[in-house]
Amino acid sequence: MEIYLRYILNSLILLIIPFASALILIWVARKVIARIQDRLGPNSSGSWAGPYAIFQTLADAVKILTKELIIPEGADRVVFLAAPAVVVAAALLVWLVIPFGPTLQGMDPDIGIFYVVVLTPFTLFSMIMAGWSSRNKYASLGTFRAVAQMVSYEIPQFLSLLLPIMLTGSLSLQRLVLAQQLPFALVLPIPALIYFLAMTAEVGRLPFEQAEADAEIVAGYFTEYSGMMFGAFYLAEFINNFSASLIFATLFLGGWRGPWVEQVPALGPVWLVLKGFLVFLVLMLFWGAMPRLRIDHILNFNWKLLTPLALAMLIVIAWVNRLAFDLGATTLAARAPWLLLANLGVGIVTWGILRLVDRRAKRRRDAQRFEPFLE
Amino acid sequence: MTLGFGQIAFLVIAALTVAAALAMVLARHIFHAILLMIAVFVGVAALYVLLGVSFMAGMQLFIYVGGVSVLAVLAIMVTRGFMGDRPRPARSTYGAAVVAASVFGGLTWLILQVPWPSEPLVPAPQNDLAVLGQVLVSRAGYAVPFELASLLLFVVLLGALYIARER
Repeated sequence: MEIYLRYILNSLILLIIPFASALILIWVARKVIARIQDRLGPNSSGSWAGPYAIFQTLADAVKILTKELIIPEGADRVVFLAAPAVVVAAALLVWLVIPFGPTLQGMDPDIGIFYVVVLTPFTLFSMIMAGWSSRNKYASLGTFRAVAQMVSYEIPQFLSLLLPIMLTGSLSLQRLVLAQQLPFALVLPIPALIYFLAMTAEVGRLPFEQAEADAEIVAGYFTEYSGMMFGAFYLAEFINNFSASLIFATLFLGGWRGPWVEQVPALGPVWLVLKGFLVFLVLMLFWGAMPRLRIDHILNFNWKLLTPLALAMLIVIAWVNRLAFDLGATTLAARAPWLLLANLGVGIVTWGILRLVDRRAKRRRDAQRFEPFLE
Repeated sequence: MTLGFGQIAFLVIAALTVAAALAMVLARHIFHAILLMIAVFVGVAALYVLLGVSFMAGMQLFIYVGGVSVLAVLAIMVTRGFMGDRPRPARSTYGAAVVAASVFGGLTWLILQVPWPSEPLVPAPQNDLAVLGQVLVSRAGYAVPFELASLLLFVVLLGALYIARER
């Protein structure tokens, strides 16, 4: 009986925390972006909105709940109504495996991080369902872009994900945290960067915001949604942003590890949320400061730079790691200089290749430009 | 036989999976069929979880939902109008019925023929990911078939690139 109570309690917490954090994070995002754009952002909508309007999102939530749900005339009703449910479910299920502390984790399945990976197609399918069932040109354009972008950015994301797994020797998120005597971002800066960029594309934040591109295609795949159904997509987006940040913090920034966490285990969640929040802030800075890339640029960037780089990193790190291990560097700290050197080498080679390609492209451009004068 | 949690869960999931499969076959719109196919895949993955092999469940979802179904959606996106209301073509129904019936018959025959082990091949505590990984890449295990499979995939990839290349 007790174990069932624990399950129920766990699932309640896992249901409430993401929504509550999304309410706060939406406020944070609006404030941060407002500051970047030299505005005040939400400040006061009546005296009850609290100092700095911290209850603004709550007011918005209440308002959005009272709005009418409009289902377009030609829409496929069942799929149209199911899509917001799928996107929220996929967003919430990730929280089950995020390790907030040494013992504070909903569940630690042996497939661990792979479970997180498996959930991404469901987010994608909720977009496809929304875009297809709406019978709207903007929605289907957004869906095409979302599919192209998410399917291709999965690849560098998973490839760079393999490196922390390789250094840990386990898929379990808890073991991934325990293995980080040094945060993996310090040992594997390039894979961490690739993962971060691919993750930004997966959650559809600027500069990879082609799926909803509000200046071009209204709101992309959820153009036709109104009221709380729109709210479901909006909430799920923020929950996804934050859970992706938490996963990044778990994989590359040491998760719940931090000073004094051995003495006071309650500090674990604090460190994790702090790190995750920093990553989230970077996402929001991107949102406020980045231009929107064109879809072909996004795909070119993925297939011609990120994927080959991630593959090269995988091979090089696997070799160097094994070599260092055989030469007696059995701990991660001892192998850190080796791995860093490997990162540096690959980084310099990549930079060289990029410069070469750039120079050649420039020469071709110049040649084209001067051609009329030469005749 | 008493019904424990496992049995009840199995019955419910199996019934839902079969129902989803039937609905998929009977669905008039191809996009509905794909969505129902995903439901079938999820049901099969849930059966794997009940068997205690979460890795297989993850692989099932990863390959079939993340790969095959996305590919199917991409295919209908680029070929038949994504937004179109056209129902699936009925021309090939009889041929499909013959193929499906023969596959069903063959599988049933096979299931009845094979002497299924009633005991687990590997004791439960050993039945984990590390063992699977070691068996796949050790020389005594399946290293050669494993590498051959990856070589095959590589050749397929090159072939696809060659066909799709702009000339």
